[in-house]
Amino acid sequence: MDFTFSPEHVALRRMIREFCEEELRPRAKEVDRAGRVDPEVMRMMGSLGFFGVPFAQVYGGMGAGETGYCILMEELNRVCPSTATIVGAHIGIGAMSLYLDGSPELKRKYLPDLCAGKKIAAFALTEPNAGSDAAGIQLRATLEGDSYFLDGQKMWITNGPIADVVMTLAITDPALGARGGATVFAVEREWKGYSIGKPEKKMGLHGSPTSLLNFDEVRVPKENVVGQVGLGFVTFMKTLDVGRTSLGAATVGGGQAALEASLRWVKARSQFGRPIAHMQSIQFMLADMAAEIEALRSLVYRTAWLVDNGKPFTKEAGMCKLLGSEIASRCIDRALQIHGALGFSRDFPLERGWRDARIGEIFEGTNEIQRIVIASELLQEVGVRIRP
Amino acid sequence: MNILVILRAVQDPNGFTVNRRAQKVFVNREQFMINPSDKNALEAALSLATESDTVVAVALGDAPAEDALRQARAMGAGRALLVRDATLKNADATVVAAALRHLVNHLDETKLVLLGAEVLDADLAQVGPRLAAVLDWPFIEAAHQLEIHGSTVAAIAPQPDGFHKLEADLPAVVSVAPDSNQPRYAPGAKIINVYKDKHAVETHTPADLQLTEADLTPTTEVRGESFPPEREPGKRLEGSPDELARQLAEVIRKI
Repeated sequence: MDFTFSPEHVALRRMIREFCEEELRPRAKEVDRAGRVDPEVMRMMGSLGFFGVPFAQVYGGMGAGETGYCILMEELNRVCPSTATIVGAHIGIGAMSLYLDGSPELKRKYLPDLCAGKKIAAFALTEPNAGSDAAGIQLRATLEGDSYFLDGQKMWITNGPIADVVMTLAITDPALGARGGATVFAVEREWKGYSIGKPEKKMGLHGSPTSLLNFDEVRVPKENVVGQVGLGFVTFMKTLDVGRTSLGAATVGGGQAALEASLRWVKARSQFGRPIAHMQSIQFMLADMAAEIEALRSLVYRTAWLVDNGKPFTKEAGMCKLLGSEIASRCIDRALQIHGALGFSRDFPLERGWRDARIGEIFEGTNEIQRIVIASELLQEVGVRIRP
Repeated sequence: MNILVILRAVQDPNGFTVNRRAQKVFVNREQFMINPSDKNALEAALSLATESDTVVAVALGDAPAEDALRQARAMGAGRALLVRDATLKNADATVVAAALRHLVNHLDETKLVLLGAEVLDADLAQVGPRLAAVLDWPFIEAAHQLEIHGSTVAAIAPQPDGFHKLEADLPAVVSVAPDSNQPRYAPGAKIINVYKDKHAVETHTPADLQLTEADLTPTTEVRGESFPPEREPGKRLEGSPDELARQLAEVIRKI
């Protein structure tokens, strides 16, 4: 067993951390207030390769694997969860479905620009009537000649307002439905019939834009089918496994930020004649935070190792997302308690952290869905098949 | 032509705490970083280099020095040279200057040597001038806004009476002022490739650079370390602007 990061991953983390401290931290408050990430920051992240961390260098990626991608998500989310969410939706689910199952031609067509951040990707699964019940999607794709025509609606699409290419799951065979009759299409924002709804007003992640997407008979050439016709649901579920691992990594960063803020504060704040660091009640909260974050970190990077070594990881990915989002929320809540009234103040970053963290328990499959995923993997290991 | 940049790996201040009462520096986590103003020197070199120039990063030491060199390669240095030897642990500025002189002679066609004007650890500011002296090259200290014009280097540098634009014939040694530029970030893919590349750093020993026993003998020895005396706290002046000005004038008069 070897629990050390490779020298290239250590060096990569150092560069990313430096970037986050220098470029993201001073802007994080404004990102939340203004509801958008500075385009200059997006450009810088693109030139440093942030938008293609796990992808092979032949497609313009960084070639740093899932481990490198988890490092990126941990560091970004430690400083600016809105920025992390844009990057995560772009890489982890948007571009990832293309990378995993797209044809070499389609990958060559889109990945270089996606990796360079010249184009932004999104992943469109959720619909007005299909959320946790992902198999209930209704967006229809009808084949006519050499093109498909997409008609329907997607909702709550992270990066929706800014995405140039949207990986969209549509029903190509209504008789089979999602299982065997759904297909993924790469849809470009400029295409006729495609329109973007108003950005949603959310509790947190204000800098990460989310919207509805309308498909009104959007013509998509056959070449833009991602993976095989009919197997889109499989592509999307595989993609979500990867996304959940990196989402777990992001929650490590969120929890870590809460712990670091708390450690700074307990040294600085005195009550009853000494720094509150000396109070056992405070120490217990710090210890619980650190223990949970460390356990989560081990789980996340072991899961990344499973991905990078081609081993099954569906169960572990669900655990990363489930435990990660709950641990991060708990840690931020404890940190807020340690900070007292200041934690509740908008002048302190914890209030933002608290709002930003809550969605972790909801998006990319609610935590209830994660429990079902984990349980069905567990039961399958003992010969019981659960039908969702 | 080569533009050499001398890098030093220093302890990251986030990894240690200074305890005045115990008169001790406690190293909590041993972690190293490139000396910040050396990074400014590297940035200056990378932006000065033309198509026909090679930026060569140079460091003395072991693993932390090698890591500094890899970072430099990822930032854009064309070559990286490490002088590795156990005896260099005790090297003082004289030994370092001697080793660097041999290194400069070993490479041909070096037009400029850059290094940081401040070092996070001892900050003796000795290596630059000593190297210039042993090479018999001109030296500019704490330079800003370096420019190369044909066979000269020009820079803005502090002088006793303020900042001046200085010009020196090449080859020259120039120490670069801290924060005089914004060092670039290394692109991620270059980091991955450089750290995987076994040949990214070329290693030399004092023997292949023909360093003699005399070159390797320090001229100084460390007999002990102590803290500088604590600074007296400042004094806060209060009152109307007129009174403040009078009080301030009084303070200045007493200096």
